[in-house]
Amino acid sequence: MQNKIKLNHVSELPLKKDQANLFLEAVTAVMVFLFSIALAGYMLVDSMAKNWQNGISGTLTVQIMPLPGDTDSQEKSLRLNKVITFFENQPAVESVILISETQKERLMSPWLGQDVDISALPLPELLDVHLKQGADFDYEKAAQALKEIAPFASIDNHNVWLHRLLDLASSIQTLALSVLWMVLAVGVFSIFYAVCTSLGIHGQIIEILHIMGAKDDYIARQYARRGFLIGLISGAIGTAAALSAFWWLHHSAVYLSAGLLGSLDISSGGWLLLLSLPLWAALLSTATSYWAVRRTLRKIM
Amino acid sequence: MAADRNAGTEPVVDMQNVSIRYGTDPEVLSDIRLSLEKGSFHFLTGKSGAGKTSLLSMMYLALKPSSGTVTVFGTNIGFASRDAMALMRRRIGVVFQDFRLLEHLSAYDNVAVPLKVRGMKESEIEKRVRELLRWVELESSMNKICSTLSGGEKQRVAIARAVINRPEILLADEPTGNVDDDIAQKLMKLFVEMNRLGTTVVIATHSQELINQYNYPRIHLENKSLKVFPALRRLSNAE
Repeated sequence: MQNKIKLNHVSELPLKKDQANLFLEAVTAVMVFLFSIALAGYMLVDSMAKNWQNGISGTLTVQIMPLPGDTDSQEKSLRLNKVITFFENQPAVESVILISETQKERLMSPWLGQDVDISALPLPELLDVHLKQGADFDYEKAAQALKEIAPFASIDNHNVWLHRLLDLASSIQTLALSVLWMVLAVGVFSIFYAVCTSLGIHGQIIEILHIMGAKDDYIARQYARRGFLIGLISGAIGTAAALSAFWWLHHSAVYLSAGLLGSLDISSGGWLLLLSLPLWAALLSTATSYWAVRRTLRKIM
Repeated sequence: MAADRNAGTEPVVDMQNVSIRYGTDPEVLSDIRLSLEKGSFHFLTGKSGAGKTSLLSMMYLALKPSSGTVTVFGTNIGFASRDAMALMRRRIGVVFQDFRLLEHLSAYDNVAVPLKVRGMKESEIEKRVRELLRWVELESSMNKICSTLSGGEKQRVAIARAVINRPEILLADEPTGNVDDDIAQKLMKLFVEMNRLGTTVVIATHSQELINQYNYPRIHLENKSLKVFPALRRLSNAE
């Protein structure tokens, strides 16, 4: 009876057990974790900035301050109508909406709590003025004209702080992009040096393989296969850890987001990108391992 | 059986003014000239440290000379590309004194390496490896990890690995040093048979008995230089 052969598809290089690969597994998981967090951060800030822009740009808020000892509701209505009419007559204005008492209560709830009667408080009347799309509205001129007919009213121009917020968002995104590039660069260098170390560890086996007629490509493909597995498995671990951290952060931010941050959403394309990170890590690890081996072996034998 | 009977005219290995120096150390070999014709058989002798391993290393393309030219299969190795060198090495079988087996692999996988690097089909590899391991009486140990094999078994695995590719040049460093007489005779018969079929053979040995038994020319290294002694013509009883 013929002796059955056990190991037909073995790799000549015992890469699975060497220290350099254990290091690479850990580093890849950490790098993918950091990359995922930075990428998710980038996409979140992008989404938040878009929400702000969509929700606030093209609008302005008008405050009509209560006058001291102001109790005559008819007088108050007259003053209010005067301001409403002023804005409705502006060619650039699309609509003017009076913020109701209920809406005001909701706006104040983060500061005053849920069950507070705000009717007794001297709060201003608020108008939500929507401008026509692309309309050229001169805030300063309108504010000046409004001051002349209704000195008790003032325009709150969102664009000033919206631009500041968008500048901040843009800075955070630039920072996130820098982190992404840095993580990518550190990842590639780590793979490169881990592969070089591993080539040193297995120098004798590689020499034997060369003497047996192995081309550099034969050896590089063994490293590339290992690189793919490390990228995929460690990448999946890193991504899973990042998604857990991200979920926790998102969950915590929900309370804060009411009225301040807007919704914290990532598009379906963004989720797809995040979930595909292990695959990208595997491809990067494969290509870098292969290249590192070819580059290093050129100097040997 | 003499080398001259098989020798052709085309040298498979040609060395001209070859010197070897490691780093800033003194030269190991100096101004060597050697031409091995296709189908020749030589013993390589010399004291330890005489440069036998360096000379063999150049022949199996693991070492380039510090000066001079080495031409193998008509290609100057100083100018050959890495891939071309790999393809030439596939035509050379090597048996190392210290075996240089892949200790974490089985006997089967070690012998299969030269065929795998050539990209041979698994079924063909199995057929050839099994046949050769049977011939060196290791078929029952083919799945044993090399680190568990005895010295003699490792020697036979190393020899099987060297000849599995049916090489055009076979270089062996003390190939019978760790095996008993019966196996040694069998292995020498294998080398002789391969030589008869056209393989150029160089065997480095300290065994005067082996040299006397097989009457082939001898390359002797001494004082950094090389001398080739022709095969002794044996007198027949009639003479």
